[in-house]
Amino acid sequence: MKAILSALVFLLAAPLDAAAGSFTPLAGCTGWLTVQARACRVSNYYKCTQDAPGDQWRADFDQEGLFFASRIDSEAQWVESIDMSPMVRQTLDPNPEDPASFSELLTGLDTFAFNLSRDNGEQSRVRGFDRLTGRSIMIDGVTLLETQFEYNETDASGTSLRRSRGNEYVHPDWRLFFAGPSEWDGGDGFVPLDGSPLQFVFPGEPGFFSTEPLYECDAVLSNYTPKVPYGH
Amino acid sequence: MEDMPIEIERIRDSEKLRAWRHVGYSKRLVLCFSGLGKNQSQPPGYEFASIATGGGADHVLYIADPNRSWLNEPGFLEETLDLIKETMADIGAEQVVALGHSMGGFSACVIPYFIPVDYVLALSPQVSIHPEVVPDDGRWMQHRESVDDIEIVDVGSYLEDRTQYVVVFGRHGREAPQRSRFPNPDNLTLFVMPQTNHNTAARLKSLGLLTDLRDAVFDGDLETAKALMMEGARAHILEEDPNATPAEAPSK
Repeated sequence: MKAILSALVFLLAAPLDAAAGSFTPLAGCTGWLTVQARACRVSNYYKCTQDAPGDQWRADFDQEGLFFASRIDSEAQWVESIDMSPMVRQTLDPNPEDPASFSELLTGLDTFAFNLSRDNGEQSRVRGFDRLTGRSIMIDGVTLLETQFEYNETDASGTSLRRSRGNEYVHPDWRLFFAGPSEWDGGDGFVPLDGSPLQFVFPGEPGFFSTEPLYECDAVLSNYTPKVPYGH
Repeated sequence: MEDMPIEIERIRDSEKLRAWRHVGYSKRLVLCFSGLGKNQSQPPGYEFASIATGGGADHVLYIADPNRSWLNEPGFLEETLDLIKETMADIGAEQVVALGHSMGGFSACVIPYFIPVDYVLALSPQVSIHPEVVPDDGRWMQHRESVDDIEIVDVGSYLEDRTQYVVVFGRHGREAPQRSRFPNPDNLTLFVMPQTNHNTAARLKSLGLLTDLRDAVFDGDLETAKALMMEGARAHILEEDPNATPAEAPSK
């Protein structure tokens, strides 16, 4: 509980600091990575001594500030997450049928089946898999392994709430997933998404723990597509 | 396809109004209003660049408010209207349309009250910046609080029956304070895009829909606009209950 409260205090304090363009973790928490990604998102990663060894937090910011945070464990299980608008906390139910396992994924394939509970009363079940494709990619000097994934999240009656499929990236040593080109379906059909990382920033480097996303944010859209002129 | 340069000329750069112009060859004038801009230490520049021009064909006035006042800076609206009228006369405009994102979308929705506009495409517009209208929206406060006197309080008071509006919002919960209060008369079609927050313009562009949507809206082809949004972006049309939107799963 202490860790949760600390994390929440931190997250609630973050938007104040975000106005200045960066934030500083609370005592006991140490930032170690900032990722500037496509789709106008910057994620800051930090670890807290109050948490279990291997746990990691990620706080996501867009142009309007903090909108999402999550904590994963050493197996990249989605232990808890907090959506800010409106604030809803989601936690992993105990004793999952098939726990997500980063270690298993690194051997090639990991299937998972677990339940989630939200403090707004919603409960759901998630089933899916992550698989290494055998390909790797270097982004901003960091080598990542590509994965293929698919999951379906259903309610208690088995009705699909949302599903997604596509590719992600993992860093074996950091034990982290990063978004990649994928599709998401909230009930109206799949829509493409791509929140791939573009820049990795480490402590001491300019932009570390920035709250300002840099890529794909503006309406200053300048591509030019020639076409048949009006009236011709 | 090979990129071709679009000529955009700066025609105003005062403390009250920044404006640029693209000279096209159609009889359509596009009023392209800027949002707050990414660099808060600099006055906003023009937005949508070549997309606003419809492949270079349409005349465009790019209009930016250096005071970021949502049309409330004394003199800004008057200067803007004068400039629009001058340009309309200069090109013999037969059609005027408006485009904008965020604060620019707000301006695009309000401007038809002051000058005849046929079609509006507004992306993530504010319905209001007034704290009594949107008390639960804490965004852009640095700029909202610097507007001394909010005379243009809400979009709903300025909508015109003769104008067709297409408004696009993201489904993210943070957009709810603006989205849920946006007026929804018969001549306004309000789309809600999944997996999208305030970045509707960039998201539409990444989906390859922005240019076609702009063309469909400004051609008055609402059916094509609907098809683009619903099939291409999996958006839905907000009918009556603005909060009847399913929850979204954040990424892993």
